[in-house]
Amino acid sequence: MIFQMEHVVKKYGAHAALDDVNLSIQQGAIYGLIGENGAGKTTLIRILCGLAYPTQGKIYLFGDDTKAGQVKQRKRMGCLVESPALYPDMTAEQNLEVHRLQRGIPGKDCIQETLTLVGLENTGHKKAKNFSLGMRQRLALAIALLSKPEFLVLDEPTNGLDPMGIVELRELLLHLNQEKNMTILISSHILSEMYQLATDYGILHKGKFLEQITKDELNEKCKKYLSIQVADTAKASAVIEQQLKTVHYEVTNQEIRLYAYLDQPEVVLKVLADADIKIKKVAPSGEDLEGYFTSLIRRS
Amino acid sequence: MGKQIKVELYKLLHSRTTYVSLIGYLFLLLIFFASGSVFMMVAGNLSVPSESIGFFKGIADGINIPIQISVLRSAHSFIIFSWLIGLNLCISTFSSETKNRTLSLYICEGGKAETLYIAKMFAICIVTTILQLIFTLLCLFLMAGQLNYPLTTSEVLQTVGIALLNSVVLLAFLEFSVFMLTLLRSRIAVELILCLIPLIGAILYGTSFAEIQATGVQTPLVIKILPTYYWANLASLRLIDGIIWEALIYSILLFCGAAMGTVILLKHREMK
Repeated sequence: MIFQMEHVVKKYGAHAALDDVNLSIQQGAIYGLIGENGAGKTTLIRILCGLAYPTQGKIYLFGDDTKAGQVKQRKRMGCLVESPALYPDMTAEQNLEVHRLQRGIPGKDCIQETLTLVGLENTGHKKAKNFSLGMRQRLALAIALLSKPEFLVLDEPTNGLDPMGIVELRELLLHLNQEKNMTILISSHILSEMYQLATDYGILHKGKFLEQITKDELNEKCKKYLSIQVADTAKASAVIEQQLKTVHYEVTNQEIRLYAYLDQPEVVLKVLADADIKIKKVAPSGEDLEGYFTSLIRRS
Repeated sequence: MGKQIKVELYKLLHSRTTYVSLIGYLFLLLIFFASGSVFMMVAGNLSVPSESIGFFKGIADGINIPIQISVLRSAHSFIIFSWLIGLNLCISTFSSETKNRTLSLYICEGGKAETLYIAKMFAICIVTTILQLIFTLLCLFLMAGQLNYPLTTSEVLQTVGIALLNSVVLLAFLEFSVFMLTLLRSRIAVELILCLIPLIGAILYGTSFAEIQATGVQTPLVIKILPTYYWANLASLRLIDGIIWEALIYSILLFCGAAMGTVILLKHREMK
């Protein structure tokens, strides 16, 4: 276990920014933290990073639950929290040199390697204050990656990145996760991007932790199906089993969810029509992460 | 800690504020070179050096105030301005760590805020002392050159000694400014307060200097908790009444008190 929160409450005055949050991040996971603005994502990340302290509850970082121990364990982390933390009067190389000296990394080769990794190898003497937001974000990512951390924490890393930059970041993070076994915690508003990247999801809403779910579980819940609305679901079910030779369906109220024949709705229509079943609607359906997230928030 | 001091010196070397400070010192030097005789915030019997305080540049009458005293006093006179450069360097450097969120990042990656603060303060102390010393010596050589006064080694050493003492008082004040910055978390408020208070102290000291013994306890106390009291005495070479010890004790107490306060705040407060 890389990181764990147990019954964590964080209050600012009477307002609970986090309310009884339980979360666990396994080694090797890409953990996507999802929530609206003000849901508590940044507060959670700030507690993980030692910038804020929980009002109640316990946290474990690399299995360590002591404050002093966690300070030491954070040396194994790379972070990009809120906005990029850079020295504006320095070049990209000088910014990395500060962090290299700070972390006691021998040799300067790592600086060029890391700059190349994030696509900033040709910035020369340009100072960080003259960088675009996307370049600043890349530099902040380079700083986080400089010491080859075991646990990478990224708060909204896609902010300011252009579409190509987002794709490159995704590919880089997948590479780091798969090749270097780096555990990654990432918060983002771009749910389609999170869906492609993360292996686990934590959903926060108004400080409450609604659900922790793996990608497989999510896929199971968000399975695509043909939504068939008929007057007589019992008769339609029997026809589906007999004529279409499948039992991959569910019946809910006036709807049948058929998980087969997704590419052949006309076959399903014909079979039901031949059996004199009155059809109200046949349409492909199923949720994606965005739909799942939205329905979960609405239910809460 | 050594590693972090090296980092802080590297940051200072690449910081625009350091170069702004150098330009500030050069600008002051230009004013020093171009200006004639100047009294600044002076008080007492001006024709008797041991009975007057303040900042005297190029003041000599050849009888009561010999040229030697004038040259030596002139070397220290512009501390009345140069402390502002040190203050700006210190506050800019510290506040930029918060503004740029680099202090937060340092903590995120396993650093302690107090380690960064101590190392940064150490680096600023070194840089400020060196800059103040060079500035004072340049003022000394310029003044001696202008008045064709042949300096002796002991006079140069005395100037170095007083310049260092002035710097020690300045460093304690800078430490206090960092404490205020950590407490108030507002660079503008701190700079405004700390730019005005010492000057108010100098004015208060100047106006009450002649009858300071008769002003009771409060006025001397207020005057003595501000650095301009020590600078006004040291810069005018009024090295009497144990002023050197007073300056040292004041600096040590202010420095240690402010440092402890800052460390406590950093240890127990959450980062913004």
